[in-house]
Amino acid sequence: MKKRFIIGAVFSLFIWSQNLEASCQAGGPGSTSCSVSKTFEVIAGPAGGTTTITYETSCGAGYYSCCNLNIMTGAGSATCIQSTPPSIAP
Amino acid sequence: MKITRIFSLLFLFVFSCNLDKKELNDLNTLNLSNSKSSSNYFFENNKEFELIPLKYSGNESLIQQMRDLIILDDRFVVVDSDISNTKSLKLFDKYGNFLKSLNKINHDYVDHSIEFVTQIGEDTIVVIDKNSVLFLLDKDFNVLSENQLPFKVEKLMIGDDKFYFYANKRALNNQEDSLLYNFIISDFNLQHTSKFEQFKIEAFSQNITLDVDRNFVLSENGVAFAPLLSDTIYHISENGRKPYVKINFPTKIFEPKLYPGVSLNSILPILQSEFSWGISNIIDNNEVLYFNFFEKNSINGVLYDKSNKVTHLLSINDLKNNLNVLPWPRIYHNGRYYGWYTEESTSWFEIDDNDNYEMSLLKKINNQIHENSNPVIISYTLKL
Repeated sequence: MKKRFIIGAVFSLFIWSQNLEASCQAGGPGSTSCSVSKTFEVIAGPAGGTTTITYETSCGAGYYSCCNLNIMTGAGSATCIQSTPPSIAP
Repeated sequence: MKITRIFSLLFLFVFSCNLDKKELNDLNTLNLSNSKSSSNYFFENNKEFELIPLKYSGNESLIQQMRDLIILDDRFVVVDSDISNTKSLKLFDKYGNFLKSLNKINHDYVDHSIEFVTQIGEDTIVVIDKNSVLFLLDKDFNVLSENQLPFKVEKLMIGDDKFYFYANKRALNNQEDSLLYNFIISDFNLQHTSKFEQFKIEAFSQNITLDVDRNFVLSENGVAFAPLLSDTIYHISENGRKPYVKINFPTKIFEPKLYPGVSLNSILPILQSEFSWGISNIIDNNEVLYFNFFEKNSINGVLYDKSNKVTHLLSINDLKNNLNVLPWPRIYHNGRYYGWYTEESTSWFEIDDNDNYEMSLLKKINNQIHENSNPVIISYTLKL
């Protein structure tokens, strides 16, 4: 039972980390910098204008960049995530 | 008697000198609460106008979000954008016939995404890519030259044989070791002649920036610049940034020092609902100083008529049922003002009177928009 739980937990963690990596809209493993933007347009008859919000980051060795953005609201993030070290074969 | 007359003349002379000074001060501070309220200013004061429908010629010619317009001697370059600020260029001749589009600049087997577009003279397009590569293109989009810049460029203006670069506190790939000055001015050989307003980027940090269109433009006296949260338009020159016009807005402006540590993405909702901000679409020529600003989820216009020394505050509120309205200008080029209507912008109007609609400017524009599924450019001159 305990063994099955540990295997399940490790497997879930693996899936979660895969999802985490896959959840970067820009950047992701192997990238050192990323940037995401959203443009809000105000259109009112004869007048018009746009506002653009940009999130960006740059990461050093051992990290990869990850940018995400809600394209509807403009809420977003640009973060550095520690890369998983490659497993060393015995 | 003679002495009295001389004193009177002297008094009149001194008084008239003071009047001139006052008018100059009035330009240096525009008090919008004392301004003349004008709703349909451009239609009522135009000498003549011309409609240029951007014609449909397949999917490539379709414009999503018209952000800017470059006017060459015999053609138009439309700077198009999607909702995530990915830009492309659409080329039309001066009658609005579609010629070609450019989604990315492919040069030496590398694709370059477009960040900003401007022009040199009447036949050269200048493009800055997302990684601050400066391209000169001919009017058929052929690459004439390519130069990698060692700093981030969000906007560029070209005047007096100089490049004026503006970074908006962004770094090349957000790297803390790139050249971090908000303004860099160089000659055409890209030799720096001036750089000022140094800033820092922390390693591994998240940089959030906000930007509005056309707040860094070529004006009558060099480059005019309005920071996003400011009530002042500045002049940018090799000597630095100097105040040009301060605007007394009817509602307050956002003061970042009152909200220390708050990031720009958090303030955006209250900015939009509470404050005056975002001076944009600036036009400064020998006739007018014109700009837009945002106020409580709406957009307003200000026009200072330089010859009559009158400030007009333009509101969209009274225009909803007006069927003859020229678009507010975005560009001034060779004596003409340019604005545009899109399907979204014309659908803002409410049509109550169908008889008047049949004969109206709005009906004519709507027909052209629906025929081409693309915006209509309107250029006009003003009687001032």
